[in-house]
Amino acid sequence: MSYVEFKDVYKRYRMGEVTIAASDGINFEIEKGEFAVIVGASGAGKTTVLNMLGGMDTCDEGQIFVDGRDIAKFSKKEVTAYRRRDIGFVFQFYNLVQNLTAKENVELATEICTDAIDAEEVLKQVGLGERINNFPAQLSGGEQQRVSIARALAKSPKLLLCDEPTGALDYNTGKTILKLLQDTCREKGMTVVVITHNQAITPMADRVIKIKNSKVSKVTLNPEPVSVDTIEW
Amino acid sequence: MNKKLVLNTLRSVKNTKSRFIAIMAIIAIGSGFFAGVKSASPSMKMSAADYLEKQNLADFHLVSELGFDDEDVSAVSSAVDTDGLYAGYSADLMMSGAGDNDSTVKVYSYDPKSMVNIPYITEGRLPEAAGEVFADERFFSASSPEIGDIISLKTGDDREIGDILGRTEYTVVGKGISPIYVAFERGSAAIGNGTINGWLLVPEENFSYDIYTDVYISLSQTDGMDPYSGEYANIISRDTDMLDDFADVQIEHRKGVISDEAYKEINDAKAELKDGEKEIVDNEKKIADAERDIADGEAEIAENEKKLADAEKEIVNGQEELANGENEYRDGEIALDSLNAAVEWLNGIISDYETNAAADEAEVSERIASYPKNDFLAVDETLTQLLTGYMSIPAAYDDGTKAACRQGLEQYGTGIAAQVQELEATLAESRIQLDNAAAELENTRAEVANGREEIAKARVDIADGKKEIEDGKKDIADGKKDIEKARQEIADAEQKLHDEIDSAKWYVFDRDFNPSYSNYAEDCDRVDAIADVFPIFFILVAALVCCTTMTRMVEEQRTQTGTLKALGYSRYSIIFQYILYALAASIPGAFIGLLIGFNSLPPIIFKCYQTMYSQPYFINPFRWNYAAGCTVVACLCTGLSALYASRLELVSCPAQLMRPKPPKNGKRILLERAAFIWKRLKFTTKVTFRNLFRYKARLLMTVIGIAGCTALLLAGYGLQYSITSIVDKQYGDIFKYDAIVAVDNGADDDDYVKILDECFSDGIASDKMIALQETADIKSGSEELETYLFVPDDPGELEKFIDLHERKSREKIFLGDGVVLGEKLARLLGVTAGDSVYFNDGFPVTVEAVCENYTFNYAYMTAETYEKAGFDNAFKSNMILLNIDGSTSEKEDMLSSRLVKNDSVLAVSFSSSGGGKFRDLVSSLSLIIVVIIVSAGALAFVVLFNLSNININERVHELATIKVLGFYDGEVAAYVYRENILLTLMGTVAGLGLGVALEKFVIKTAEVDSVMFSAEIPWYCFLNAAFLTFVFALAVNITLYFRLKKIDMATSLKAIE
Repeated sequence: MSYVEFKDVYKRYRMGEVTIAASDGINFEIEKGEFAVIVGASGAGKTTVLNMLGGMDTCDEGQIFVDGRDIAKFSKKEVTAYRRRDIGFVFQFYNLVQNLTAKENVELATEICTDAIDAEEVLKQVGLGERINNFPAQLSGGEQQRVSIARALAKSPKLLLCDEPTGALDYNTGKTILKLLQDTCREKGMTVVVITHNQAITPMADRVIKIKNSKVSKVTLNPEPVSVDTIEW
Repeated sequence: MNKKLVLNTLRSVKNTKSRFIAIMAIIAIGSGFFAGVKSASPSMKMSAADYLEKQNLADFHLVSELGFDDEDVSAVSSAVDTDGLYAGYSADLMMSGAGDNDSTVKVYSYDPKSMVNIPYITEGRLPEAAGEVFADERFFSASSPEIGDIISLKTGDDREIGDILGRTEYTVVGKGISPIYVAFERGSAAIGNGTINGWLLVPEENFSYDIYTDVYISLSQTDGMDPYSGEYANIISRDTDMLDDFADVQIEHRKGVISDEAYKEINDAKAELKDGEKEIVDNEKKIADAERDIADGEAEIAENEKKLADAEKEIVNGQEELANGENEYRDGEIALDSLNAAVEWLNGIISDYETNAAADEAEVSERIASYPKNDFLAVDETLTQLLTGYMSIPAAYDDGTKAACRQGLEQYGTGIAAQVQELEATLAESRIQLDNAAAELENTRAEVANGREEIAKARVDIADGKKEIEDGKKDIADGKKDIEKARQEIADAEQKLHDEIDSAKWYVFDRDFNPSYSNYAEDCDRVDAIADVFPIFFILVAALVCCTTMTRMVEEQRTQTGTLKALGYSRYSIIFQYILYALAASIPGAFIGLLIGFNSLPPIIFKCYQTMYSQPYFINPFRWNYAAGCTVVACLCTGLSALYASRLELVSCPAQLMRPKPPKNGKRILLERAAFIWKRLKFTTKVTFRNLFRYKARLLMTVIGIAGCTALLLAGYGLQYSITSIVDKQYGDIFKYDAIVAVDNGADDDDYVKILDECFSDGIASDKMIALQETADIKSGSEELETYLFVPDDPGELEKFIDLHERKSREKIFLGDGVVLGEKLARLLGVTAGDSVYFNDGFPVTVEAVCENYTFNYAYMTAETYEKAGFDNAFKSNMILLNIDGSTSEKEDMLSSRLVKNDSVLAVSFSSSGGGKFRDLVSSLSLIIVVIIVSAGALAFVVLFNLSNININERVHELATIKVLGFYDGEVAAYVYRENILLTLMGTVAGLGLGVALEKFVIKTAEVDSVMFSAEIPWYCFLNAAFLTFVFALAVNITLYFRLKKIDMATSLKAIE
């Protein structure tokens, strides 16, 4: 069995009279240590997949295995514990608590974790060793996203889920963030799932899952993923 | 304004239900409370005005020391323009019957034609015929006469009831309220225990007075006028001046009449005095005569006694003589017997020897020897010869010798018989004489006895006569003294008449002279004062919260505002949207609040005051001005907040608006500088502190909002304590006695002994103190008040019954040369120890100390001071204070039932039920406090809920994020709660401080003259206020928990709006 596995996952929303399936029988697998990109157009259903995988939403039907456990069967409390221990989340808009310094934002996550990595350590790893005591407002977008990544990594999660991590960043900064994620994957053996609408970055992934009309339209394995530096869009 | 915009606004109402309802609720509470409390006072005044108008309470009450006659009355009625004038009578009397023993009542005359002071009937009807009475609905004593009861009236002092009323028994036909008595104070009287218990109306014809005691005037000018208005006050003050001037002139009329009458009376008295003097002279003469008679009598007695002594001596002699006579008589009798025996012997011999017999010598001598020896027949030679001759010669041999001898013998016999006859005659005579003498002696004896008796009687008579004379002399002495006194009295009366008539005047009282009347207005003003403080506090808090809420709302709609601007909508249309939203919340909110406030609060407050004032009904109109004012204020509140909140958005350009608002930058807080503390704090605590101080404005608003609510709660609880605690303090800490026995003024020492015996028997009472308590006017400078004056018989006993002490230092106060005043009394008079006060316009008395006192005003002094203070009467006790060991209701019942039967006892009251009258006041005010507490609680809840709600709305993104980070529901809640709790804590602390100030202020404005509220707030009030705030906070937090649970984590993925 793969490290992550979606099996006939359905998610339906009731909008008045009509029922819309946001996930209409999703099936895919991701292996441990892979850098996976879930790509699709706006409204294709990729965020729903992300929500379900991140334990932020439940599916109506099907099974979602992460490291051998079916998270679709988890109770509410188990789901929270799963988010807490197994998932690192990187948001498009960083979602840093404005009132906390970079270090404190990381600590916000480590406080509730048992085997967390030291906050300063992680921040150094993402290249923010000098700015640990700065407030988000004093940081650039890229730097904020790094804090966000550090916060996710500090928990040593099983999965690093990134929702359009470059969406709010300029081209170059976006690239460095992607580089950071790829390096993390390579160096730490972290399983990274990036969700994006940007087709251009697919060459850097080990696995590309294309979503279209709430279904997985194509899964591509890249035997030779390229470095971010070589990609341009 | 675009229709779609209106639609959009209305939709947003639907989407933001909780916020909308919160604004509505806050506006409702604020405006409802304000309008309700604020309209209480005018409604109370309006009700009173209406009632007084309907009953036509006199504008003026005239009283004259000389009374009024018809001429005075017609003069008055022509002097002022009246729509009702009544000249009537009144008298203070004692009422018995109807289960009441000697209540002091004020009896008024009632004339059905009078249009002034019409009584308000609550039961039965007004008196129509003589002998009917209409009674006060509310007597202070436990029982009040019921319809059909017969009551009887007496004077209670030395006045004759017949001089006042034509009859003493009356049947109760109705009960009601008199407009003269606005409150339940019935005033004071010179009889009974000095306090009037109630009033009675009897038909005018039942009064025996011929001059009127009171004149009541209702001005036609004030008809339908608000009696609390300035206009009314102006008319009254103008007419008071006019009436005063008029009175000074008109008094002369009665002065003339009275002095004529009085001088006539004095002259009559003088004539009587002369008669009295003459009588005394006559009596003195009579006594002199009597004394002479007695001397004569005594002389006569002496004489008679002498005579009696003689007579007694005579009796003794007579008795002796009589005895001698008797002896002689007896001797005579013996002689007679001897004589008879001699005759018989002779005759025996004659007959024996008449015939044949002849005796020999022996026989003869034998026969001669048989002669019964006596002194009357000497058997001499001759006789012996004769005998011998006779006997020795038988008849046959008679030679004549025998016959001669017989003859001789017969001669002897005849001689002796003659002697016998003589002796018998003598004896019979002497018998008669003796009997006569004995009878005479008996008579003399009886006479002497009578004489003695008579003398004894005469002696008694003389003794009586002497005593009579003694008495007569004393009477004369007394009479002389009386005459002297009468002479003095006449002189005094002449002087007094002179003085009184000279100083006599009319008193013109307007309504304000009735203390309850002005108290009612003052109480209304106090409610109004509370209405100014509390509701404004409410409105302020409400405005604050509305402002916060609207600000948040505008912020939330930032993108939409930008979009609308981009679409080309004008600033005004956009502003209008918010204003529409604000109005949509505030107008119905205000409407609901006003509806509830108007209809609930004024009646509740009125009900409270109804326990103190006899206002029979309540008029509570919907006050459009307040309603409009409240609604406008509410709309301004929300509208201006909306405007204020949207000011920035409106000047910004659309693009700026459509970009997410740059989050407020994080900043280091002050606490972080104190590194040694900061380092020790837990991470979560640090976060909490950071967040708290991040939004200083919101922090401030929340703290102020919570502080306001806590302050209201504390002020409410504090007031409640201040008010309720004083009864316990007064009747526990200060008044230590267990019972008061009010004693009739006429009771003498024996009566007191009797009462005390009853109190102490069976071990009911353990200690007693005799004292005087009366109402007196106390004056200092221009301040004049009525107070209870308490004078203990023995000041040394006082501390066992009344603990006089200074409030703060609790230092004991002992009565000395001056007067000790209750704290409030001293404050109202503006005096402190060392100042002087005057009682009943008497001599100055130095204030010795000021003692802790809460209910009613008391002044304490010793009997010596009392005598020196210039009171009309000398010190005379009228009550007994008792201590009862382990006072139980059984003991109390036993005591009171025993004492009620005693005629000298007017009333018995117990501390256990003490301050009954006062408890009414307390419970009435407590109700207002409950209203405040409930309202404040409601406000606290809404405020907290709303502010927490805003807090969550503002931070929903952040909260969603931490949820994604894997915070459990409890942790998420704690993340928010820590801040809420801290805010609540800060608000509560601030609120407690604010509450103390608020309470002080309210007490200052709400206190009545006869009461001092205790200013301190006990710890548990703070605890209660804080606790309640926290309970509300907790309740809010619990509801928030469910909201937090519902926050969608997907929100975290969206851009910040």
